[in-house]
Amino acid sequence: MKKLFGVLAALALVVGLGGLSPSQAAPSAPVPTGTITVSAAASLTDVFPVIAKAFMKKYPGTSVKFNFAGSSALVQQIIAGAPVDVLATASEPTMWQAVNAGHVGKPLLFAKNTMAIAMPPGNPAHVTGLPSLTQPGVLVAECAVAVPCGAAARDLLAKNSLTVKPVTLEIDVRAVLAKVMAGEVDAGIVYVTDVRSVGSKVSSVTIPAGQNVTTTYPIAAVNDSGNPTAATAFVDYVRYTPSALGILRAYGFAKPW
Amino acid sequence: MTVSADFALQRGAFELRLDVTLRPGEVTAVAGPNGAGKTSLLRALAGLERVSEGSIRMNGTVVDSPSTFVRPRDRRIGFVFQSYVLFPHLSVLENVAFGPRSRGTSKTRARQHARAVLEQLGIGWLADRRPSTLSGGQAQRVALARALATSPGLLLLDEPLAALDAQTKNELRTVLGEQLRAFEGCSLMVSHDPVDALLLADRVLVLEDGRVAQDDTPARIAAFPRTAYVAALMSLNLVRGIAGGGVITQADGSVVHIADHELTGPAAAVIRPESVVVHRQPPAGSARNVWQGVVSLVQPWEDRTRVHVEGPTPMIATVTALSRTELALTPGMPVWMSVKAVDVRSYPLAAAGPDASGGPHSLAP
Amino acid sequence: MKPGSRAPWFLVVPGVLALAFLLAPLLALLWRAPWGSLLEIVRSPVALDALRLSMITATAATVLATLLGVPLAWLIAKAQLPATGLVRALVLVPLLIPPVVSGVALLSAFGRRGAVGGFLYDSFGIQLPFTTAGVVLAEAFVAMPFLVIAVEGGFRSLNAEFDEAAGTLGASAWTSFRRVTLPLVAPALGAGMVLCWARALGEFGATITFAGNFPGVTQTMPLAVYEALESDPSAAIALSLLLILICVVILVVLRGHFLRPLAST
Repeated sequence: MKKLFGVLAALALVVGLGGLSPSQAAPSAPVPTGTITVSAAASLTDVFPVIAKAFMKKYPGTSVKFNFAGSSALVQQIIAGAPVDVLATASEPTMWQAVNAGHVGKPLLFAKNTMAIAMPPGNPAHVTGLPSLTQPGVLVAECAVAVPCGAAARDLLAKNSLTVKPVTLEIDVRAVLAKVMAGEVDAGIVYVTDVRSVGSKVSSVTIPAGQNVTTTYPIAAVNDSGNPTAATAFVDYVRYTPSALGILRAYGFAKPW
Repeated sequence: MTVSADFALQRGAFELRLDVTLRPGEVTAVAGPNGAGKTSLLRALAGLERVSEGSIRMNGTVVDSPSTFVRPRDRRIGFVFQSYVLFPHLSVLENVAFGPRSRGTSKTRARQHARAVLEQLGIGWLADRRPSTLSGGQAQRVALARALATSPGLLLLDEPLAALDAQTKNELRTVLGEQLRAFEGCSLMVSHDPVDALLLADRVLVLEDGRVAQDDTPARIAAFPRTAYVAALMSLNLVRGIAGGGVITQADGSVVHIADHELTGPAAAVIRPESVVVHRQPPAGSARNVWQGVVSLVQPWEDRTRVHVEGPTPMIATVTALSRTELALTPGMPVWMSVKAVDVRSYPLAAAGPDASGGPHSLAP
Repeated sequence: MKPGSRAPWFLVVPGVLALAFLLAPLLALLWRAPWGSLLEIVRSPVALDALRLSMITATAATVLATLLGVPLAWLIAKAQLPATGLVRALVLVPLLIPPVVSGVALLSAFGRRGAVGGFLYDSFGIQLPFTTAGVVLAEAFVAMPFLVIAVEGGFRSLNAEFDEAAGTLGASAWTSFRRVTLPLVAPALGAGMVLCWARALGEFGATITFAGNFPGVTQTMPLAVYEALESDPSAAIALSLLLILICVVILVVLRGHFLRPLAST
């Protein structure tokens, strides 16, 4: 019982302090504090925690929790009422689903990504480019079409007039990467940022810009957020601060404009 | 089939060791206290357990020894389990046909043969029943039929009558007696009931503590028990004759009064020595059976004395040591014996058989 | 309930709550179902493919589990192995570990670079992941323990004298097993097979990790539902209802058959 009382007291204190934030005394923007949950596309698994760390350093008192999955799954979760504060997806169409359902505010584009081919170390099937993927006996993994990376893969192949029959359609890009790293498939169509994250665990082939497709990443604050101040602050941080942009570049993301 | 069993069998701390030969046509009863090794002997002969020393031979071929082992299915045996172990998911007919079918006979012929065996045992009408619907006596007959259907050379029965009530036991003892007498192979029957031994067996093997305590005809064991257990178990007087009207009339015309007035036909009666009262004078009282005789042998035996009396109706009586002294019983002395009719237990006997109408068992050694 | 006897409240109340807890999600599904487009969704190629695949793989997995599991159950129950308890515990492992972990383990063993799978691939070109056979393997792996445990119980409770009696009657080991032992454990085997089939049908984690996800080849119903959830939740609900309906129908049809007591034979 004592413990419970202590927790309640602490909670009351935090809430009270929150209410007594300097924002009510001064006319400047409110300082973000407290916890936010960010639902982010699987391809942001490595880069976002680094950005979050910088964000938390700038605003001590904040805490950022992540929920990574395929963008479409994240959107469905929010539509179903998941208690999330920020949404970052790997394609505009998925974000628009959330917007049209009235669940998120104005999205801002913060990054761009292009596709690459990842192969197991040593490239056992001797994949040299997109046309290699059409050879019989080459096992290719893609994301499911409902997921941005899957839609992008289909666009990529269509743009290059290639017909590829994948052996599996994974539900997020990390799962594709996992199959490639395990050597279970000969190639996977993933983002260039994924190839960069895993480094030597995969071999890769760069797709020339003329053949490649891009996907843009929007980020938005969720309307029913329990912490709108911190949510908006995070969205702005990712979009506008040089620090965030620098981190994104370092991980291989391009500018969205 | 001739079975020579000269072996030792170790089970934990217990050792069964014996050397016996069973001859075709011979019915041997195996008696003994619990834990004496009776079931182990049966199972060893069946091949359900292995000997540790020595050997078992059937018709000269070694079926069990430390270096050889012939599986039960390759021995020509029939086994009747104490709990019958009828296959519950098969009909009675299928149960009895199981053995022949397993040995390669076609389904049709096996079933025909099974039906014949069932008829022979008087239960042909049960052919399509399931074992769970049978009474104890019916199940026992089916178990016997099933074992006999494979025409075994050695028939092994584990307490065949133990699970039955008194009346069914009597009926079935008759049936069993018929079948055993008709059976051409050798049979070995474990039983703790001395009446089974007396009425069904040609030979009794008494096991105690894993050793043979006595191996002889039932009559001689009953008359001359060698151990206290055998004495307590097998000391029985047996009378055979034709029953009717509340008496059993023996071959020489002498009569034993029994309590069962409905019994007719070939029958036997068993009188425990403890029920025989010995008198120096002709007795008065309600006892319907009164016989005269001459004391032939007085055997002091632990706390009591066995008195053998010869005469038209030879008997063994058990009296206390004190009574022996008081009556001054000595061989050659004429005495009177009395037994109440209610102390005489009577049983029907099968119609056929060498001893059905014979006289009482000879007590001569 | 017998007249005059009343069920105690401390059992009735939690019991009813438990029932409500189990039924609520199913009833909610029925309530949220897209009744208008239900038929169309259920008849779509994706749904039919997934359904057909699920039925085939669950049945094949059950057959595989039976062929392998019955002998294993017999060994555990009858063969007096040195470490029976340990063997039984090992058999239960797929029941206890998360299915995805099972999938990872299966990849380590049977993947293209796996201990066994590598040999199969290099020597014969046989690959199990991404094939329907791989789905069957994954489902059999997670569902077999149910069958083994059910059948082992059956063997253990079997009177040893039945086999002895069959032997004395001249039956070979195979004849005794086929005509006596198996029929007598049939109820336990039947129950085990039903459980196994149901578990195989519902398997997700091991399947998607080991066999991947491709319509018509490896996308079983649970995987189809999961993928539908990403883009079209009402389709997911429709497919879920279809799966539940099939399971309920089959379990109801078989329930009477396998729960009927042996004594009625």
